[in-house]
Amino acid sequence: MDIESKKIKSPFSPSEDYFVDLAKRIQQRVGIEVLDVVNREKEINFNDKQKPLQLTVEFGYPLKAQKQPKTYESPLEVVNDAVSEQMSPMNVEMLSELPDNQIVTHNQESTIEVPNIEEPSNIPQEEEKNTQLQELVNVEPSLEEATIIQEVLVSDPSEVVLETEDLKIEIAPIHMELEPVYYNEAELDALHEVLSSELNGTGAILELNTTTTAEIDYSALEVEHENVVHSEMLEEPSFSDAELDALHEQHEQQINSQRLAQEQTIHQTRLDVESQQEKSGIWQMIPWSSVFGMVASLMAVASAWLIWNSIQKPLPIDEYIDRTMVTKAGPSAVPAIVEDGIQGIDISTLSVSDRVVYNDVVEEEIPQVKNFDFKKLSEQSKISSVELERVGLTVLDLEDELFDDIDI
Amino acid sequence: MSIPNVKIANENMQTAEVSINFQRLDETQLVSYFVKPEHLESVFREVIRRHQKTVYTYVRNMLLSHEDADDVTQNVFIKIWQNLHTFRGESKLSTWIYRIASNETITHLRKVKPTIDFDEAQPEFADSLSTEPYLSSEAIERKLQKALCYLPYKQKLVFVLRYFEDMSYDEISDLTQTSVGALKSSYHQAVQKIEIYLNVL
Repeated sequence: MDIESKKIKSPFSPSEDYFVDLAKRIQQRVGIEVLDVVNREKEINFNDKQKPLQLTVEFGYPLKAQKQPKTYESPLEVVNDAVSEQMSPMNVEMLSELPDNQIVTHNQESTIEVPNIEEPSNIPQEEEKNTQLQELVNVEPSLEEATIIQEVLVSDPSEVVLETEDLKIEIAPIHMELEPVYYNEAELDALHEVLSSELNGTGAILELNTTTTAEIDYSALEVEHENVVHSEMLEEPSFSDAELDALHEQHEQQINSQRLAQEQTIHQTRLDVESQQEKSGIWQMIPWSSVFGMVASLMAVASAWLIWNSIQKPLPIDEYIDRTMVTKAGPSAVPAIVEDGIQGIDISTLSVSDRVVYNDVVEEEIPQVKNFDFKKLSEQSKISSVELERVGLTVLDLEDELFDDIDI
Repeated sequence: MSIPNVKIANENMQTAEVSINFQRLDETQLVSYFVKPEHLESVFREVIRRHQKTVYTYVRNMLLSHEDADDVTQNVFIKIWQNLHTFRGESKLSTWIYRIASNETITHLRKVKPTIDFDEAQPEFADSLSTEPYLSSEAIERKLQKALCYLPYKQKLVFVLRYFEDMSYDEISDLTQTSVGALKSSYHQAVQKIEIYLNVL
């Protein structure tokens, strides 16, 4: 089991209450004022924005209506409940400037009147309409009435009284001066014939009035038509079957020759285009932006490859330790120095650590664990051992004395 | 109540009440108040707030017993209170506190078992682990704590500081006054022993 790859927690996890109690006991023991240190963050965090105080009272009669004030224009949307019944007299008194006798309270009966839509037979004459329109234009609502209309709050539909006298829907009269036209039967027949003759392409023009009558001679028209058809048939040339076949072959040859000419033209054009493409080369057909893009991509890949090879992935610390410890202190690295140095190297020129290694290698090829009391070593040995550890050639175990006493 | 109201004399010798929120200070800023007696209590409370969990957990990992850890943690903070004004910030505050905690732990062990050998493992502590309060129900975590009982104190110390407290080798070296190489060797030996223990059991 690899405990370093999968970290295991410490099993000791006291609750927050324990630490609160512990902090208090510590403060008691040191003799300072006992405060709650664990939860102080919440108490002194001045930057926490608290919600503003809610000054509006959410019970009793509201001083202001929450919804849009209702007017007599939308009486059917008013909710009629117990609260609104209690509120309605007060609201009317507060908001309405009408005298009391004009206020209709919920105690009175509903007096909603449906507007009287006048029947068509009751539509007044034109003169009467004009006079009424003039009156409507001249009568402007006073400012006082306008404000009352805007401010009156109606919370009970029973209060609403629709005054039909004020609701006047005026329809402007439509004046179309159409004089009646009267035709007798003969004129009607003449009109019918004119229309039918126009449909048949004949250009007969009739002048209509109350006294004239139209008489059309159908037989003459039919004769003329037959003559026209017959003359057209006579002018058409007549061919024998042999002549027709010859003509047909001639037409076919003409069509075939035209088709061949067109195909040759198309083929020639295609050959010209292909020859131009071959002459210009394939590189001219590729856009330069694509070429540059491909080159840039290749360069990016190449640079990434170089960077990847030059910068290696960092080793984990433990693997690094193992590698360095083996390569520097392990037996495999040492013989190379021995073989080269036994004959050629002057030992006096080596550093202290190299000399120790050199001697170790000569005397015992496999490093051994040595136990010694560091304090009893000579000064030179202490320096040497420290130097050895510094360059990584040996690892000193922990000291016997764990820690020096703290000067407290 | 929780904010210290401090009267500070400015250049015109006029006093003004200043409330300092020590929780928002970093360690260096907090240490700078150690030398100011008027702030000492508030600073100490902040030190308790920041470090009591880590001190308790560290001591508990070393001693296993909750009662012992509770006593030692209190002693650690009493020592901190007594020497707070002497701390000059030459090392990290946490390192200083860990060092006090380590010494208090050793002192406690020597008091409980005068003949204790810190080079030897103390497997007898593992027996009482299951009856301890504030213990996780995770089996693997308990098993790891039992494995720690089979380590010599030195290796256990290095392992706890490195593995549980996530301290760097330099910090542990500063704390234990031991070379980094020796610490690494000790840590790897501890890991190997624990892994063998966990695989066998």
